[in-house]
Amino acid sequence: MNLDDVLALAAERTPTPLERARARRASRKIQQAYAHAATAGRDLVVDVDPHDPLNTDADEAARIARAAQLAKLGTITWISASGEISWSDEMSLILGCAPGTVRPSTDLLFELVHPEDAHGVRRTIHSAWREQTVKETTYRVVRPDGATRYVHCYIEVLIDRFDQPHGIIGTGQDVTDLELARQERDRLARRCETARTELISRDPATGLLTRPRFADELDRTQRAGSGALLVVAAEPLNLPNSGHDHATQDRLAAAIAGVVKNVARRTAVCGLVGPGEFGVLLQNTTMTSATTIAESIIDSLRSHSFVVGQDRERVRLDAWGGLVRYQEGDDSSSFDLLVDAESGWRQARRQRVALTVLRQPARPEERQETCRSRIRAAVAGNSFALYAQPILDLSLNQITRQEILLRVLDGTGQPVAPSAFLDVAERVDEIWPIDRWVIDHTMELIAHGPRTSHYQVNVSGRSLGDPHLLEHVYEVVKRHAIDPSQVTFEITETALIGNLTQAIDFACGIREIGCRLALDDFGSGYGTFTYLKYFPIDLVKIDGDFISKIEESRPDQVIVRSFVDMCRGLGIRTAAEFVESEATLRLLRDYGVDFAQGYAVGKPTPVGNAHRALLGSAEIETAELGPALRTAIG
Amino acid sequence: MITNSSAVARAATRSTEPTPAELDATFAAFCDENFLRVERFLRARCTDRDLVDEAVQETFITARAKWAQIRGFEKPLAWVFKTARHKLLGQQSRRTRTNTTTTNLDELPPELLTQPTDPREADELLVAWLQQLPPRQAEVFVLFFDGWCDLDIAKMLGLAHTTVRAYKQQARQHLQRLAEQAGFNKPTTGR
Repeated sequence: MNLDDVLALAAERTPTPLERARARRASRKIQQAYAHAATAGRDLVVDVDPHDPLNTDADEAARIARAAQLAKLGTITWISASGEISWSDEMSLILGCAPGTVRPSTDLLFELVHPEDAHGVRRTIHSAWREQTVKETTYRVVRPDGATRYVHCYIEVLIDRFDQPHGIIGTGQDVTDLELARQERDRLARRCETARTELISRDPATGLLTRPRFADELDRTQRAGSGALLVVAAEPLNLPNSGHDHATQDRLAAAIAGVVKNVARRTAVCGLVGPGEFGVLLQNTTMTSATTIAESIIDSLRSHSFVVGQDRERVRLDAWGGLVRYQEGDDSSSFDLLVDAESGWRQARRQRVALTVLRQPARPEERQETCRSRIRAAVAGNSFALYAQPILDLSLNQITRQEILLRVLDGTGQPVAPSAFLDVAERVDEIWPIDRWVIDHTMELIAHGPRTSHYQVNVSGRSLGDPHLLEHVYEVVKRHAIDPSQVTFEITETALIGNLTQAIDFACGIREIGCRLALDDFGSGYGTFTYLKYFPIDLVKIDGDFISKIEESRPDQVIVRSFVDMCRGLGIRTAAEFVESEATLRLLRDYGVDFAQGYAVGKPTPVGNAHRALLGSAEIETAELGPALRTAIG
Repeated sequence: MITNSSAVARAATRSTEPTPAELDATFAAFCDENFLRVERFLRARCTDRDLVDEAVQETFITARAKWAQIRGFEKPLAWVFKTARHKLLGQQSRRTRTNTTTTNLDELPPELLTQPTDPREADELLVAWLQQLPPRQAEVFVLFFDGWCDLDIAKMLGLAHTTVRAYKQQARQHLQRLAEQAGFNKPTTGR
């Protein structure tokens, strides 16, 4: 069957008896309605052309103009023989001229058409004339008073009695509202496509809420009533060598998370609040039942054995818990409660019990003191390690830099990500000793490393205000006879919010010493373009959130490309974090990003543990910087 | 199919003033005869059945009010078509000022995608296809399909003669594409 068959079949259609009956019913209804209206004396023919459309003496142009007028559309007529142009009153209004005040002419018409659209309009008219067919076009009119309107026009070719083209008629209407609505629909569709409304809120390995999101949840439930917060820490009693790589640790964390979720009530909110630390929110529950749940979670973790690695070695865990009760109207913030529960499990570990239960949140001074002493102990005990992650110069295609990263050693001496630890340190104002530790050990490393490499080191926003910071940097640089231009200090944009004056003082001071300055995690926090304008930044590191999925994400591509353009215009270099594939590297190089960092370039590797760093053995350190550094030398 | 009263009969009706009863009777016959055709014409350009029903109803009431005059036209139905379209356009611009209605193939009832077996099904399929065309092309095509000549169509729709020719051709090409998309691309053999 094809179109002709369908048309032929359709042409045979005759009304069914049912349809006929419907037509008769409608007909009766119409006659009744007419009789009703006639008796009421209503005017039924208003706004209707009473003439016979087929029996008209008017020529084609006049006929179309009249139809347009009834439909409240404007017309422009052009007759080829005389070259004369005329337009209707309605069209005059569309063009923004009071009817009769201007003499229609082609020149005037094209003066009123927006310059960017004039060429298109001419082309459309010419092609309509040439092909003797109807065309349509939408263009802007700039009225004499300056207002811009969108006008849609059908362009039709008029023929005479001998079927010869003799003119053109345009039928137009102001479609500004429609056009704006269309543009808005397009924009919304594009926005729908590009906006990801879901925040990154879950840890990719365990699927649990991240620390900040878990804290948000805690805040919310805290407002809604009382309950208990449990933080459980799990540490492997025996970790085989195969268990040290990232992937295995992620799998182990996921398995532990599974056990915790299983034992906790199905509705309980769980989060990964630190490395090996799991938060469980027990809402609307008595302390007795919360304690029971906490104990059974710890028991399950202790009795569970996990199998890791290719050798299928068994790993047993030790676990401790800190349980703290909260009530509506407590002064404690979600951060306070987290710190209390964390201190709780530490206390349990010290006292060799499974669980510490706090019937209420700790007193603020007490909490502050607990945190401080923990941090001081860590600094005093050198419970840190430095890692270096290679950074690729995309234009040279060589590793020319390293970012020095801090790791905190946990109870078993395992290096873990420091964010939870630093979070506590910043909040209790104990970050300066940690920053000083990092600066000291990094500078020592640089002093013994090759002079050609460049190092990027992080410093906390809280330390920027410390008057000792600049002094200390200056002194260490001098002591080790380091070329200061080998060092870039990375600060996060959150740091700038605290005290902009202090931050600017630091920035200017650090550049005076001769070091460089980078803005870290740009785009993810509260950073504004103001910083780019007023801050003497040398490098901006684009937040990994914009990079990790950039291959398939159009929004990320648009943002990164424009941002790189902007930075180049400002004389700021750009770096991308979380570069995880070759394809991403190529894309970033195309965009003109200067540096790339991430697993596709190289993972962070230890640069010698704390004790070795302290000893300052040049041999060990350069050897342990690995092949990445040698690339730079070569 | 177009009812053409002879010139003689037309002259006769004009000369004598018709009685109200006579007007009622002739209008009722006209309405019974053409109601479905007018409805079908509007459906080709508008998918909203309520709007169509309303426009058809109003048009016929107006036609009844003017019946004494338009019954004398050569083809009263041309006037009704033109007026019905005018009413529909007015309603459309009032109701959906910002909303352009487009129908996708996906929205077609699935039964329409199987081969039509009788004229009614074939016609419904055609209307469904017409509703996916630009409205001006659709109404030109439906009038052409209804048996009107190009010039009459041009006059009823307020278009240039050349435009009607162009739209007829464009509509045909468009329908061809839709038919092929729906799998109607082989002529029936031996039908």
